[in-house]
Parts: sequence; C-alpha cells; structure tokens
Amino acid sequence: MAQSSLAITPLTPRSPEPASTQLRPVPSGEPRERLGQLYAEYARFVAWFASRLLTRQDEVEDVVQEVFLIAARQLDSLTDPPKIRGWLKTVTLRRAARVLRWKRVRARFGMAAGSENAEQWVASPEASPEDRAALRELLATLDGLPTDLRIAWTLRHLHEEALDSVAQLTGCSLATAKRRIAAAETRLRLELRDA
Amino acid sequence: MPEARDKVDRAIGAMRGEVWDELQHRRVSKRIDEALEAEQRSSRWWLAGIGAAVVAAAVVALVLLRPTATLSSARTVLSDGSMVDVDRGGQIHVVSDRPEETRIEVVAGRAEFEVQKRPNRPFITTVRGVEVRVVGTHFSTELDESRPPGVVRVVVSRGIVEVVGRQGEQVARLNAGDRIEVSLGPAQKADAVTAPNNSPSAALAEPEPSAARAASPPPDASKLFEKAHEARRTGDIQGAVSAYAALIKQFPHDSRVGVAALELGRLRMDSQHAYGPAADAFRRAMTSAPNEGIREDALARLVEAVDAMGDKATCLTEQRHYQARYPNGVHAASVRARCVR
Repeated sequence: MAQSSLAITPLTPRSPEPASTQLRPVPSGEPRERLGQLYAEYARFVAWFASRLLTRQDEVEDVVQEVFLIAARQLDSLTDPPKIRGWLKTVTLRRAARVLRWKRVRARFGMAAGSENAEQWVASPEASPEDRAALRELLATLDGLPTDLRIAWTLRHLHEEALDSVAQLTGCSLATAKRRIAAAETRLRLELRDA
Repeated sequence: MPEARDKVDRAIGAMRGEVWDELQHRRVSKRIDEALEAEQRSSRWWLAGIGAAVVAAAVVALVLLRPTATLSSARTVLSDGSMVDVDRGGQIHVVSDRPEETRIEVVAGRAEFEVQKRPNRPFITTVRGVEVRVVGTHFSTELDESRPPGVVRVVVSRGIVEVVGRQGEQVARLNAGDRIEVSLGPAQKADAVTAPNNSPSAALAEPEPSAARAASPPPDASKLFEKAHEARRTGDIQGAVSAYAALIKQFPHDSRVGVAALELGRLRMDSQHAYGPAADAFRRAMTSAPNEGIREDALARLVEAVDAMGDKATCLTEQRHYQARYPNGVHAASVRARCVR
C-alpha cells in the first residue's frame, strides 16, 4: 500500500477548542498541497459536524471523503478561512442530508440498518449506561422525524447554530427554520415523554 | 415535559466531542487520494460510464450486502466501521456482526482486514478451522491451496493477532510485520510452518522470508546501515525496516544502533502505522542514542506513538519525562499537544 500524497499530511494537533471556532491560515501552494493542508486543518471539523447528523462511523467517513473531493474541484474559491468553514458546513450538511433521506427511503422498504446500539459510536467513552440509554432514545426518535425537521433541530441543538444560521444552512426562511425546530421539539417531547 | 428535556440534555451530554482519530484521518486521506488519482487517469466519458456503474453497483450492494451474506471481490464495512477487502478470488462469509462479537469465515482466497479498536469485543476470523483472533488492527489472511494440502497464510501489518490451530491450540501471537503459514495437513504438529519471531525483541526484529534467512548475513553493521539508507532513499520501506532491524539484532553494541532504532521507529510509525513496534524502537533508540539530540527526538516520538495507541497513562508519563528533561526542547510544543484524548 503506497503512501499517498494526502496521507502524509498529519492530523492537526487537538486543541481544547473545537476546530470550528478557530481560524486557520489560508492554504497556499500547488492544488494537491493546498487540498492536503485543507484536509489536515478541517477534516476533524467536518467529521464532527457530520457526526451530529449521522451516527455511523462509516457514514461519517464517506461524507468527509465526499466533501473533500468536492473541495478539490473548488480550491480556488476556498481562500478565506471564515468562508471555508461556512462552505464546509453547507456541503457537509447537504451530503449528510442525502444519506439521511436515503436511509429513510431504505427504511420504508424494510432495508434499514439495525438501529439498536445506534449510540455506540457517537457516545462518549465516559458516558454512563443511563446516559447511553438517553442518547439511544434520542437518536431513535430523531430517526423517526422527517429529515427537514431532524436537520433543523440538530443544527440548533447539537451544533448550537444560531437561528439565522440554521435558516441559511438549510436554505429556508427564518420563519420556516423556527417552525421546523418547534415542530421537531414538539415531536421529541411527546415521544420521549411517552417512551 | 421536564422529563423529555432532561433526557435530551442527558443525551447531548453523552455525545463524544472527539470523533476523528489518526487512523480515520489516514484512511480517508488515502481514499481521497485514490479517488483523485482515478479521476486524473480517466477521461470524462469513462468517468460518466464508471459513475453510472458505481451508482448501479452501490444500489445493488446496498440491497445485497448484509450480515451472513457471502461476498467476493468487494469491500465490506462492518457495523463498528471495521473493513474487509477481499481479492485474488477471495470469498468471505460474515457469520456474525454483533456488538459483542464479530466472526468472519474466509471461504476462499485472500482477505485483508482493517479492524477498529474493540476492547473486550472479539473479532475472530476462521480459515478452514484455523482461527485468527484480533487484538488490533490491520492484517490479511489467505487460503493458499496451490500446494496440497494447502496453507493458511496470515500477515500482520499493524497491531497484534493471535492464531489458533484447528484443535484449539494457540499457534502464535503475531505482531506488526510478522507472518505465519499454518499447514492444512493432517499432522497438527506441523501447523506452524513459518513461525513468527517470538524472541523478546520480536517487536524490533523483522521476520524474514525463509529464502532470505538461508542466505548468509551481511558482513558488518556499516553495510546494513548503508543498505537501510539506500532502501529508504529508493522508497523501499520494507527493505529499510528489515535492514535497520537486522542491524539492531545482529550488532546490538554498534554505535549506529541508536540512530537505526530511531529511523526504524519513524518508518514503523509514519509508513507502517505500527505504533507498538514503533514505541519499542523509540525506547531502544533512547537507551542506545549516541547523543542527547537523538535521545530527545526519540522521546518526543515515543510520546507521539503511545498517544496514537490510545495509551493515555503511558503517554502522560512519557510526556512528563520529556518536559522534565527538555523543558525548552525543540519538540516541546508538539509534545505538549499530545495525550489529550
């Protein structure tokens, strides 16, 4: 297995702050080198962002791969760090939404992957059994929500995005974003209370 | 209502903050690289055709790939993210893929496994009754029936596996770089055909093919050192690893051993992602280092290796050693950033 040019780009060391709050230097150099720098700086952020929407490690890895393959074609427009983050969020969200919609379609035809232990990968290793149970219940309930509602609620509560940012990322009006979040909240309260 | 809110808060609090590790980082970067290479090689026409084929294959795969399916010439992603690639006419049967145990039977040919860390969750591969129990993380098995009665070949690229014979006896524990062939003949005592290097320094010593073992060793340490250097220069990583390991094993008191061990550790970690053997090599480099610079480099890299292994306690211990010995060292910043997960 030959070492690839991107593979030797080291993972950026962790810092106490999530990568999403940091501004990185603008990548420069040859396209492949720039993509390598971009990947080293932002892969962790993209994975984190995707992991709030998707619960399986392989799905998250696929999304990270797709996002950076798309980035490879748009490197010239990815020069401003705040815009890079925004662009990555938008693309990651779209790819993750596709996965979620596709899973719902598969579920309708009885081909959904088993949802038991769905929390296994996303749960913190330190989480207690009770915490894991709560997380499993939440994920199961989110699985039952229409994708638009799920995404709006997740952006607001798991990604902690501002309302106007939720609207911008999902491409809808502020009023629609609020309505979706509220509808998701109502469904969650009902179903989690009944559970 | 408050009960639902509490559950949501509790669930959110239980989510992990860190979802991306070095293994995933490298794996996905390799996949991106391969995809980009493929794009460059193909014309747009071909890409359109291949894209359609891939979409069709993905649709078929999504329908067909489920536990208990028998597969050939494909990549299978298991529920915990572990992956199995089969090739050379390989065929596997996923017997079970459950949180408590994964069991895969290699029916024919060769299969390569990339296994996620699974504390207390067995990942077992069987080939004609020979069991390979995974301790971690990357290895391949091959059922070779070209020479009757056939052999099961196991090669470990990273991590550790245990090989158990057909009558339940443990044949060997293999480290990264080790390989073994288990005969499928009737005489069980003949099981271990090519035994791994089980000496205490097995992690440093490179097992060599039998043909290479039969050849006379190079005459002196300087030749081995030059051979390793040349192999490295030409990109022959395995050749460089073998030469450095041979130098350390055959000339343990030579002045070059410290540098050789440091270089071996770097190759083990950066190119082969074999963190355990890399850590052993860095420890050896520290004890045999000809000067303080090499020793500092080796200690910094040791912190990096044990961090990559997820051994937080050792990582913190070695980190403290580094900070005490080299408070203003050249690697102080990178060492400080380690051991946080």
